[in-house]
Amino acid sequence: MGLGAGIGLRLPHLAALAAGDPPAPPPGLWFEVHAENFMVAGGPRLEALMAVAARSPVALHGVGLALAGTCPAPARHLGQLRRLCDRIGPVLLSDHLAWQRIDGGRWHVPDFLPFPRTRAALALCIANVHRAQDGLGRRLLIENPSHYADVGGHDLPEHEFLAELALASGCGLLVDVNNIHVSAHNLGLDAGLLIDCLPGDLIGEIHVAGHRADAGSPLLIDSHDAPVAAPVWALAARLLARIGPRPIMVERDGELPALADLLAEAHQAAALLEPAALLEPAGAA
Amino acid sequence: MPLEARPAPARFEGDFATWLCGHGVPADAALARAVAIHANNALAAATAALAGNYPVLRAALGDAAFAALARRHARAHPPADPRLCLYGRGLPRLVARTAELAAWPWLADLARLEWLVVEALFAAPPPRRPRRLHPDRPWPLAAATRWLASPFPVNSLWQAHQPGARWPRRFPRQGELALVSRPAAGVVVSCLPAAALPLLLALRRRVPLGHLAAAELAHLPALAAAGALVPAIGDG
Repeated sequence: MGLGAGIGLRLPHLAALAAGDPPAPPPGLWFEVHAENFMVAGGPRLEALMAVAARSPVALHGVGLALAGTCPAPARHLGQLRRLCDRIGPVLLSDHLAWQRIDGGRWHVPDFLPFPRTRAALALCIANVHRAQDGLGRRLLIENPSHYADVGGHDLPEHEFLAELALASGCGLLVDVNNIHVSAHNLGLDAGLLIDCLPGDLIGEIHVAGHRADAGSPLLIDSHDAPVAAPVWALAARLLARIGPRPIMVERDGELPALADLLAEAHQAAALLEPAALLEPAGAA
Repeated sequence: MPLEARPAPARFEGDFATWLCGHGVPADAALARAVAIHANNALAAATAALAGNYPVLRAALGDAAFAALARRHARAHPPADPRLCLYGRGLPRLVARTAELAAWPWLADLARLEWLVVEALFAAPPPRRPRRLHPDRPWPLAAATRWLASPFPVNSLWQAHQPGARWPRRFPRQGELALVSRPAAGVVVSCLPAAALPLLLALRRRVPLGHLAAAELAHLPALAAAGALVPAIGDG
Protein backbone atom coordinates (compact mmCIF):
# COMPACT_ATOMS: atom_id res chain seq x y z
CA MET A 1 0.00 0.00 0.00
CA GLY A 2 1.18 3.54 -0.71
CA LEU A 3 1.80 6.24 1.82
CA GLY A 4 -1.36 7.39 3.55
CA ALA A 5 -1.41 9.44 6.73
CA GLY A 6 1.71 9.82 8.82
CA ILE A 7 2.79 11.36 12.08
CA GLY A 8 5.85 13.29 13.11
CA LEU A 9 7.86 10.81 15.16
CA ARG A 10 9.39 12.61 18.09
CA LEU A 11 11.88 11.27 20.61
CA PRO A 12 9.42 10.48 23.46
CA HIS A 13 7.59 8.05 21.15
CA LEU A 14 10.65 6.59 19.45
CA ALA A 15 11.35 3.73 21.85
CA ALA A 16 7.73 2.53 21.80
CA LEU A 17 7.60 2.48 18.01
CA ALA A 18 11.02 0.85 17.76
CA ALA A 19 9.67 -1.97 19.93
CA GLY A 20 6.64 -2.68 17.75
CA ASP A 21 3.87 -1.37 15.55
CA PRO A 22 1.17 0.76 17.19
CA PRO A 23 -2.28 -0.76 17.62
CA ALA A 24 -4.94 0.08 15.02
CA PRO A 25 -2.81 2.27 12.75
CA PRO A 26 -4.47 4.28 9.99
CA PRO A 27 -4.05 2.85 6.48
CA GLY A 28 -0.67 3.58 4.96
CA LEU A 29 0.78 4.87 8.24
CA TRP A 30 4.25 6.37 7.91
CA PHE A 31 6.57 8.35 10.12
CA GLU A 32 8.57 11.51 9.61
CA VAL A 33 11.53 12.55 11.74
CA HIS A 34 13.70 15.63 11.88
CA ALA A 35 16.80 14.44 10.09
CA GLU A 36 19.25 16.46 12.18
CA ASN A 37 18.30 14.55 15.34
CA PHE A 38 19.75 11.42 13.77
CA MET A 39 22.74 12.73 11.80
CA VAL A 40 25.16 11.22 14.29
CA ALA A 41 27.81 8.51 14.24
CA GLY A 42 25.75 5.96 16.14
CA GLY A 43 23.99 5.20 19.37
CA PRO A 44 20.63 4.01 20.63
CA ARG A 45 18.62 6.83 19.08
CA LEU A 46 19.85 6.06 15.58
CA GLU A 47 19.44 2.33 16.16
CA ALA A 48 15.84 2.85 17.26
CA LEU A 49 15.07 4.82 14.10
CA MET A 50 16.64 2.10 12.00
CA ALA A 51 14.40 -0.43 13.78
CA VAL A 52 11.34 1.66 12.91
CA ALA A 53 12.52 2.09 9.31
CA ALA A 54 12.98 -1.66 8.96
CA ARG A 55 9.23 -2.12 9.51
CA SER A 56 7.57 1.11 8.40
CA PRO A 57 8.06 3.86 5.83
CA VAL A 58 10.13 6.71 7.29
CA ALA A 59 10.52 10.19 5.79
CA LEU A 60 13.33 12.58 6.67
CA HIS A 61 12.43 16.23 7.21
CA GLY A 62 15.50 18.43 7.35
CA VAL A 63 15.69 21.71 9.22
CA GLY A 64 19.20 22.74 8.26
CA LEU A 65 19.78 23.02 4.52
CA ALA A 66 19.14 26.79 4.45
CA LEU A 67 18.11 26.50 0.81
CA ALA A 68 17.13 30.15 0.34
CA GLY A 69 20.31 31.58 1.79
CA THR A 70 23.52 33.02 0.43
CA CYS A 71 25.29 30.66 2.85
CA PRO A 72 23.65 27.25 2.39
CA ALA A 73 24.52 24.17 4.41
CA PRO A 74 28.18 23.16 4.07
CA ALA A 75 29.24 20.02 2.23
CA ARG A 76 29.90 18.32 5.57
CA HIS A 77 26.24 18.70 6.50
CA LEU A 78 25.13 17.32 3.14
CA GLY A 79 27.44 14.36 3.64
CA GLN A 80 25.98 13.63 7.08
CA LEU A 81 22.46 13.82 5.67
CA ARG A 82 23.39 11.56 2.77
CA ARG A 83 24.82 8.96 5.16
CA LEU A 84 21.58 9.05 7.14
CA CYS A 85 19.58 8.62 3.93
CA ASP A 86 21.72 5.62 3.03
CA ARG A 87 21.01 4.08 6.44
CA ILE A 88 17.28 4.80 6.60
CA GLY A 89 16.17 4.73 2.97
CA PRO A 90 13.65 7.56 3.40
CA VAL A 91 10.42 7.42 1.41
CA LEU A 92 10.44 11.24 1.26
CA LEU A 93 13.13 13.83 1.91
CA SER A 94 12.30 17.46 2.53
CA ASP A 95 13.51 20.79 3.88
CA HIS A 96 12.33 24.38 4.00
CA LEU A 97 12.27 27.43 1.77
CA ALA A 98 14.22 29.65 4.12
CA TRP A 99 17.62 31.05 4.97
CA GLN A 100 19.22 30.36 8.32
CA ARG A 101 22.96 30.91 8.39
CA ILE A 102 24.44 34.17 9.62
CA ASP A 103 27.97 35.48 9.81
CA GLY A 104 29.40 32.90 7.44
CA GLY A 105 27.65 30.06 9.23
CA ARG A 106 28.87 30.93 12.73
CA TRP A 107 25.18 31.19 13.72
CA HIS A 108 22.74 28.65 12.36
CA VAL A 109 19.40 30.21 13.28
CA PRO A 110 17.10 27.34 14.33
CA ASP A 111 14.10 28.91 12.62
CA PHE A 112 13.03 29.61 9.04
CA LEU A 113 13.76 33.17 8.02
CA PRO A 114 11.83 35.09 5.34
CA PHE A 115 13.21 36.84 2.28
CA PRO A 116 11.97 38.90 -0.66
CA ARG A 117 10.96 36.55 -3.47
CA THR A 118 13.02 38.30 -6.11
CA ARG A 119 14.36 36.83 -9.33
CA ALA A 120 17.81 36.93 -7.74
CA ALA A 121 16.52 34.95 -4.76
CA LEU A 122 14.90 32.43 -7.09
CA ALA A 123 18.19 31.90 -8.93
CA LEU A 124 19.94 31.44 -5.57
CA CYS A 125 17.35 28.90 -4.42
CA ILE A 126 17.55 26.97 -7.69
CA ALA A 127 21.33 26.76 -7.39
CA ASN A 128 21.12 25.70 -3.74
CA VAL A 129 18.50 23.02 -4.42
CA HIS A 130 20.51 21.69 -7.37
CA ARG A 131 23.61 21.52 -5.17
CA ALA A 132 21.74 19.81 -2.34
CA GLN A 133 20.05 17.26 -4.60
CA ASP A 134 23.35 16.51 -6.32
CA GLY A 135 25.08 16.09 -2.97
CA LEU A 136 22.30 13.92 -1.56
CA GLY A 137 21.64 11.93 -4.71
CA ARG A 138 17.93 12.34 -4.05
CA ARG A 139 15.01 14.57 -4.95
CA LEU A 140 13.99 17.07 -2.32
CA LEU A 141 10.55 18.35 -1.43
CA ILE A 142 10.60 22.02 -0.45
CA GLU A 143 8.21 23.32 2.21
CA ASN A 144 6.44 26.66 2.01
CA PRO A 145 7.23 28.84 5.04
CA SER A 146 5.06 30.61 7.62
CA HIS A 147 5.02 34.40 7.39
CA TYR A 148 4.64 36.84 10.26
CA ALA A 149 4.95 39.97 8.11
CA ASP A 150 5.35 40.79 4.47
CA VAL A 151 9.03 41.64 4.05
CA GLY A 152 8.15 43.24 0.69
CA GLY A 153 10.26 43.59 -2.42
CA HIS A 154 8.83 40.52 -4.13
CA ASP A 155 8.96 39.84 -7.85
CA LEU A 156 6.82 36.71 -7.58
CA PRO A 157 3.93 35.48 -5.44
CA GLU A 158 4.86 32.48 -3.37
CA HIS A 159 3.04 29.86 -5.46
CA GLU A 160 4.79 31.06 -8.63
CA PHE A 161 8.14 31.18 -6.84
CA LEU A 162 7.68 27.59 -5.65
CA ALA A 163 6.51 26.39 -9.05
CA GLU A 164 9.46 27.97 -10.86
CA LEU A 165 11.84 26.59 -8.26
CA ALA A 166 10.43 23.08 -8.67
CA LEU A 167 10.40 23.17 -12.46
CA ALA A 168 13.93 24.54 -12.71
CA SER A 169 15.53 22.32 -10.07
CA GLY A 170 13.49 19.14 -10.37
CA CYS A 171 12.46 19.26 -6.71
CA GLY A 172 8.90 18.69 -5.54
CA LEU A 173 6.83 20.64 -3.05
CA LEU A 174 5.81 19.90 0.51
CA VAL A 175 2.73 21.98 1.22
CA ASP A 176 2.31 22.82 4.88
CA VAL A 177 -1.34 23.75 5.08
CA ASN A 178 -0.97 25.16 8.57
CA ASN A 179 1.73 27.51 7.28
CA ILE A 180 -0.69 28.73 4.63
CA HIS A 181 -3.42 29.28 7.22
CA VAL A 182 -1.03 31.11 9.55
CA SER A 183 0.46 33.22 6.75
CA ALA A 184 -2.94 34.12 5.31
CA HIS A 185 -4.15 35.23 8.74
CA ASN A 186 -0.99 37.22 9.45
CA LEU A 187 -0.79 38.92 6.05
CA GLY A 188 -4.51 39.44 5.52
CA LEU A 189 -4.73 37.07 2.55
CA ASP A 190 -7.35 34.55 1.44
CA ALA A 191 -6.08 31.12 2.52
CA GLY A 192 -8.44 29.30 0.18
CA LEU A 193 -7.14 31.27 -2.77
CA LEU A 194 -3.54 30.52 -1.75
CA ILE A 195 -4.40 26.82 -1.60
CA ASP A 196 -6.11 26.95 -4.99
CA CYS A 197 -3.06 28.57 -6.64
CA LEU A 198 -0.61 25.85 -5.63
CA PRO A 199 0.72 23.75 -8.53
CA GLY A 200 -0.89 20.38 -7.77
CA ASP A 201 1.30 18.28 -10.05
CA LEU A 202 4.40 19.32 -8.12
CA ILE A 203 3.08 18.54 -4.64
CA GLY A 204 4.58 15.40 -3.14
CA GLU A 205 3.60 15.75 0.51
CA ILE A 206 1.24 17.66 2.77
CA HIS A 207 1.71 18.71 6.39
CA VAL A 208 -1.03 19.66 8.81
CA ALA A 209 -0.19 21.07 12.23
CA GLY A 210 -1.42 23.23 15.07
CA HIS A 211 -0.75 26.87 15.84
CA ARG A 212 -1.37 29.37 18.61
CA ALA A 213 -2.09 33.06 19.02
CA ASP A 214 0.87 35.37 19.61
CA ALA A 215 0.86 36.84 23.09
CA GLY A 216 2.01 40.24 21.90
CA SER A 217 0.03 40.83 18.71
CA PRO A 218 -2.94 39.60 16.66
CA LEU A 219 -0.61 37.24 14.78
CA LEU A 220 -0.76 33.46 14.71
CA ILE A 221 2.41 31.52 15.48
CA ASP A 222 3.31 28.32 13.63
CA SER A 223 4.00 26.58 16.92
CA HIS A 224 3.18 22.89 16.28
CA ASP A 225 2.13 22.62 19.92
CA ALA A 226 -1.61 22.11 19.56
CA PRO A 227 -4.01 19.81 17.71
CA VAL A 228 -4.69 20.62 14.07
CA ALA A 229 -7.30 23.39 13.94
CA ALA A 230 -10.58 23.02 12.05
CA PRO A 231 -9.74 25.62 9.38
CA VAL A 232 -6.50 23.77 8.63
CA TRP A 233 -8.35 20.48 8.21
CA ALA A 234 -10.77 22.24 5.85
CA LEU A 235 -7.94 23.71 3.77
CA ALA A 236 -6.25 20.31 3.57
CA ALA A 237 -9.51 18.75 2.39
CA ARG A 238 -9.88 21.48 -0.21
CA LEU A 239 -6.36 20.93 -1.51
CA LEU A 240 -6.72 17.14 -1.63
CA ALA A 241 -10.06 17.37 -3.40
CA ARG A 242 -8.35 19.34 -6.15
CA ILE A 243 -5.08 17.45 -6.52
CA GLY A 244 -6.01 13.93 -5.40
CA PRO A 245 -4.47 11.87 -2.63
CA ARG A 246 -0.99 12.68 -1.37
CA PRO A 247 0.97 11.53 1.67
CA ILE A 248 -0.28 13.70 4.53
CA MET A 249 1.43 14.08 7.88
CA VAL A 250 0.34 15.38 11.29
CA GLU A 251 3.24 17.47 12.57
CA ARG A 252 3.47 18.01 16.31
CA ASP A 253 6.58 19.23 18.14
CA GLY A 254 5.50 20.87 21.40
CA GLU A 255 3.10 19.80 24.17
CA LEU A 256 3.48 16.34 22.69
CA PRO A 257 0.38 14.20 23.37
CA ALA A 258 0.22 10.46 23.89
CA LEU A 259 0.96 8.40 20.81
CA ALA A 260 -2.69 7.26 20.70
CA ASP A 261 -3.85 10.89 20.44
CA LEU A 262 -1.45 11.58 17.58
CA LEU A 263 -2.63 8.45 15.82
CA ALA A 264 -6.22 9.62 16.25
CA GLU A 265 -5.28 12.78 14.33
CA ALA A 266 -3.58 10.61 11.73
CA HIS A 267 -6.86 8.70 11.33
CA GLN A 268 -8.56 12.06 10.76
CA ALA A 269 -5.96 12.85 8.10
CA ALA A 270 -6.38 9.42 6.51
CA ALA A 271 -10.11 10.06 6.21
CA LEU A 272 -9.31 13.00 3.93
CA LEU A 273 -7.70 10.58 1.50
CA GLU A 274 -10.84 8.45 1.17
CA PRO A 275 -12.72 8.80 -2.13
CA ALA A 276 -15.80 10.22 -0.45
CA ALA A 277 -13.80 12.98 1.19
CA LEU A 278 -11.93 13.76 -2.02
CA LEU A 279 -15.21 14.09 -3.94
CA GLU A 280 -16.92 16.28 -1.37
CA PRO A 281 -14.57 17.75 1.22
CA ALA A 282 -16.34 18.72 4.43
CA GLY A 283 -15.95 22.36 5.35
CA ALA A 284 -14.37 23.36 2.06
CA ALA A 285 -15.30 26.87 1.12
CA MET B 1 15.82 51.20 9.02
CA PRO B 2 13.86 50.88 5.75
CA LEU B 3 14.50 48.09 3.26
CA GLU B 4 15.48 48.68 -0.34
CA ALA B 5 12.70 48.10 -2.89
CA ARG B 6 14.45 45.03 -4.37
CA PRO B 7 17.31 44.16 -2.02
CA ALA B 8 19.92 41.66 -3.15
CA PRO B 9 19.70 38.48 -1.02
CA ALA B 10 22.98 39.19 0.76
CA ARG B 11 21.94 42.77 1.56
CA PHE B 12 18.58 41.62 2.92
CA GLU B 13 20.20 38.90 5.02
CA GLY B 14 22.64 41.42 6.44
CA ASP B 15 19.87 43.81 7.47
CA PHE B 16 17.72 41.03 8.91
CA ALA B 17 20.65 39.55 10.81
CA THR B 18 21.34 42.93 12.35
CA TRP B 19 17.77 43.11 13.57
CA LEU B 20 17.81 39.53 14.85
CA CYS B 21 20.88 40.36 16.91
CA GLY B 22 18.98 43.26 18.43
CA HIS B 23 21.04 45.96 16.72
CA GLY B 24 18.51 48.33 15.23
CA VAL B 25 14.85 47.86 14.51
CA PRO B 26 13.03 47.83 11.18
CA ALA B 27 11.01 50.97 10.56
CA ASP B 28 7.90 48.93 9.84
CA ALA B 29 6.15 47.86 13.07
CA ALA B 30 4.77 44.64 11.56
CA LEU B 31 8.21 43.68 10.35
CA ALA B 32 9.65 44.52 13.76
CA ARG B 33 7.16 42.13 15.38
CA ALA B 34 8.02 39.42 12.85
CA VAL B 35 11.72 39.83 13.61
CA ALA B 36 10.95 39.55 17.32
CA ILE B 37 9.00 36.32 16.71
CA HIS B 38 11.84 34.78 14.71
CA ALA B 39 14.37 35.85 17.35
CA ASN B 40 12.22 34.32 20.07
CA ASN B 41 11.73 31.10 18.08
CA ALA B 42 15.49 30.80 17.61
CA LEU B 43 16.23 31.48 21.27
CA ALA B 44 13.54 29.05 22.41
CA ALA B 45 14.88 26.28 20.17
CA ALA B 46 18.44 26.79 21.41
CA THR B 47 17.49 26.90 25.09
CA ALA B 48 15.22 23.86 24.70
CA ALA B 49 18.16 21.98 23.20
CA LEU B 50 20.34 22.95 26.17
CA ALA B 51 17.63 21.78 28.56
CA GLY B 52 17.51 18.47 26.72
CA ASN B 53 21.26 18.03 26.82
CA TYR B 54 21.75 19.12 30.45
CA PRO B 55 18.89 17.58 32.45
CA VAL B 56 21.01 17.10 35.58
CA LEU B 57 22.31 20.66 35.58
CA ARG B 58 18.73 21.82 35.08
CA ALA B 59 17.55 19.71 38.01
CA ALA B 60 20.40 21.00 40.17
CA LEU B 61 19.79 24.67 39.35
CA GLY B 62 16.02 24.64 39.07
CA ASP B 63 14.07 25.54 35.95
CA ALA B 64 14.20 29.32 36.31
CA ALA B 65 17.94 29.57 36.98
CA PHE B 66 18.73 27.08 34.24
CA ALA B 67 16.57 28.99 31.77
CA ALA B 68 18.41 32.22 32.56
CA LEU B 69 21.78 30.49 32.17
CA ALA B 70 20.68 28.84 28.91
CA ARG B 71 19.50 32.16 27.47
CA ARG B 72 22.81 33.77 28.41
CA HIS B 73 24.70 30.96 26.69
CA ALA B 74 22.48 30.92 23.59
CA ARG B 75 22.93 34.68 23.11
CA ALA B 76 26.70 34.55 23.57
CA HIS B 77 27.26 31.29 21.68
CA PRO B 78 24.32 30.59 19.35
CA PRO B 79 24.28 27.24 17.57
CA ALA B 80 26.49 26.93 14.50
CA ASP B 81 25.26 23.44 13.65
CA PRO B 82 21.59 22.61 12.95
CA ARG B 83 22.07 19.38 14.88
CA LEU B 84 20.82 20.82 18.14
CA CYS B 85 21.22 17.42 19.82
CA LEU B 86 24.92 18.32 19.78
CA TYR B 87 24.52 21.93 20.91
CA GLY B 88 25.93 23.23 24.16
CA ARG B 89 29.51 22.04 24.40
CA GLY B 90 30.55 25.38 25.88
CA LEU B 91 27.94 25.56 28.63
CA PRO B 92 30.24 24.12 31.34
CA ARG B 93 32.68 26.99 30.71
CA LEU B 94 29.89 29.49 31.25
CA VAL B 95 28.91 27.71 34.47
CA ALA B 96 32.52 27.93 35.67
CA ARG B 97 32.70 31.65 34.83
CA THR B 98 29.34 32.68 36.25
CA ALA B 99 29.94 34.60 39.44
CA GLU B 100 26.46 33.91 40.81
CA LEU B 101 27.24 30.18 40.78
CA ALA B 102 30.61 30.43 42.51
CA ALA B 103 29.14 29.11 45.76
CA TRP B 104 28.49 25.77 44.03
CA PRO B 105 31.91 25.04 42.53
CA TRP B 106 31.03 21.45 41.57
CA LEU B 107 28.37 22.56 39.08
CA ALA B 108 30.87 23.12 36.26
CA ASP B 109 32.17 19.55 36.57
CA LEU B 110 28.62 18.24 36.75
CA ALA B 111 27.96 20.05 33.47
CA ARG B 112 31.18 18.68 31.98
CA LEU B 113 30.07 15.18 32.88
CA GLU B 114 26.69 15.77 31.26
CA TRP B 115 28.35 16.87 28.05
CA LEU B 116 30.41 13.67 28.04
CA VAL B 117 27.14 11.74 28.32
CA VAL B 118 25.86 13.58 25.21
CA GLU B 119 29.05 12.73 23.32
CA ALA B 120 28.81 9.10 24.37
CA LEU B 121 25.15 8.89 23.36
CA PHE B 122 25.93 9.78 19.75
CA ALA B 123 29.36 8.18 19.34
CA ALA B 124 30.06 5.52 16.73
CA PRO B 125 29.17 1.94 17.63
CA PRO B 126 31.98 -0.50 18.42
CA PRO B 127 33.28 -2.65 15.56
CA ARG B 128 31.15 -5.71 14.80
CA ARG B 129 34.10 -8.11 14.79
CA PRO B 130 35.76 -8.65 18.18
CA ARG B 131 39.39 -7.68 18.36
CA ARG B 132 41.99 -10.35 19.03
CA LEU B 133 44.16 -9.15 21.90
CA HIS B 134 47.93 -9.16 21.52
CA PRO B 135 50.66 -7.84 23.84
CA ASP B 136 52.19 -5.79 21.03
CA ARG B 137 48.96 -3.99 20.28
CA PRO B 138 46.78 -1.63 22.30
CA TRP B 139 43.28 -2.52 23.43
CA PRO B 140 41.33 0.42 22.01
CA LEU B 141 38.83 2.37 24.00
CA ALA B 142 35.28 2.21 22.64
CA ALA B 143 34.35 5.34 20.68
CA ALA B 144 31.75 6.24 23.30
CA THR B 145 34.12 6.05 26.28
CA ARG B 146 34.77 9.25 28.19
CA TRP B 147 35.87 10.06 31.72
CA LEU B 148 36.14 12.98 34.08
CA ALA B 149 38.53 13.18 37.00
CA SER B 150 37.04 15.77 39.32
CA PRO B 151 38.00 17.15 42.71
CA PHE B 152 34.28 16.85 43.51
CA PRO B 153 32.12 13.71 43.92
CA VAL B 154 30.78 14.27 40.44
CA ASN B 155 29.56 10.72 39.86
CA SER B 156 27.63 10.71 43.13
CA LEU B 157 26.09 14.07 42.31
CA TRP B 158 25.09 12.88 38.83
CA GLN B 159 23.56 9.67 40.18
CA ALA B 160 21.61 11.55 42.83
CA HIS B 161 19.91 13.66 40.16
CA GLN B 162 18.72 10.72 38.06
CA PRO B 163 14.97 10.12 37.86
CA GLY B 164 13.86 7.99 40.77
CA ALA B 165 17.24 8.12 42.51
CA ARG B 166 17.40 8.30 46.29
CA TRP B 167 19.14 11.36 47.65
CA PRO B 168 22.15 10.18 49.69
CA ARG B 169 22.44 11.06 53.37
CA ARG B 170 25.79 12.59 52.57
CA PHE B 171 28.00 12.89 49.52
CA PRO B 172 31.59 11.63 49.52
CA ARG B 173 34.07 14.25 50.68
CA GLN B 174 36.68 13.33 48.07
CA GLY B 175 36.79 13.74 44.33
CA GLU B 176 35.68 11.02 41.96
CA LEU B 177 36.77 9.56 38.64
CA ALA B 178 33.57 9.23 36.62
CA LEU B 179 33.53 6.83 33.69
CA VAL B 180 31.03 7.28 30.86
CA SER B 181 30.51 4.22 28.69
CA ARG B 182 27.90 2.72 26.40
CA PRO B 183 28.01 -1.00 27.07
CA ALA B 184 24.79 -1.89 25.24
CA ALA B 185 21.77 0.17 24.34
CA GLY B 186 22.34 3.08 26.70
CA VAL B 187 24.95 5.34 28.26
CA VAL B 188 26.12 4.42 31.74
CA VAL B 189 27.94 6.63 34.22
CA SER B 190 29.93 4.82 36.88
CA CYS B 191 32.72 5.48 39.33
CA LEU B 192 36.24 4.15 38.99
CA PRO B 193 38.96 4.21 41.63
CA ALA B 194 41.27 7.16 41.13
CA ALA B 195 44.10 4.67 40.55
CA ALA B 196 42.44 3.70 37.22
CA LEU B 197 43.23 7.08 35.68
CA PRO B 198 46.79 6.16 34.53
CA LEU B 199 45.34 3.15 32.70
CA LEU B 200 42.74 5.32 30.93
CA LEU B 201 45.43 7.79 29.90
CA ALA B 202 47.67 4.97 28.66
CA LEU B 203 44.83 3.47 26.63
CA ARG B 204 44.10 6.87 25.13
CA ARG B 205 47.79 7.04 24.12
CA ARG B 206 47.32 3.57 22.56
CA VAL B 207 50.04 2.01 24.70
CA PRO B 208 50.39 -1.72 23.78
CA LEU B 209 48.99 -4.13 26.34
CA GLY B 210 52.41 -5.61 26.97
CA HIS B 211 53.76 -2.22 28.01
CA LEU B 212 51.14 -1.56 30.68
CA ALA B 213 52.27 -1.72 34.30
CA ALA B 214 50.81 -4.39 36.54
CA ALA B 215 48.98 -1.73 38.56
CA GLU B 216 47.40 -0.48 35.36
CA LEU B 217 46.47 -3.94 34.11
CA ALA B 218 44.61 -4.57 37.34
CA HIS B 219 41.90 -2.14 36.23
CA LEU B 220 41.39 -3.60 32.75
CA PRO B 221 38.67 -6.10 33.79
CA ALA B 222 36.57 -3.30 35.27
CA LEU B 223 36.88 -1.26 32.10
CA ALA B 224 36.00 -4.24 29.92
CA ALA B 225 33.00 -5.06 32.11
CA ALA B 226 31.78 -1.46 31.83
CA GLY B 227 31.93 -1.65 28.04
CA ALA B 228 34.61 1.02 27.91
CA LEU B 229 36.82 -1.04 25.59
CA VAL B 230 36.08 -2.38 22.13
CA PRO B 231 34.89 -6.00 22.31
CA ALA B 232 37.77 -8.44 22.21
CA ILE B 233 38.15 -12.19 22.10
CA GLY B 234 38.84 -13.40 25.57
CA ASP B 235 37.86 -10.17 27.31
CA GLY B 236 35.01 -11.77 29.24
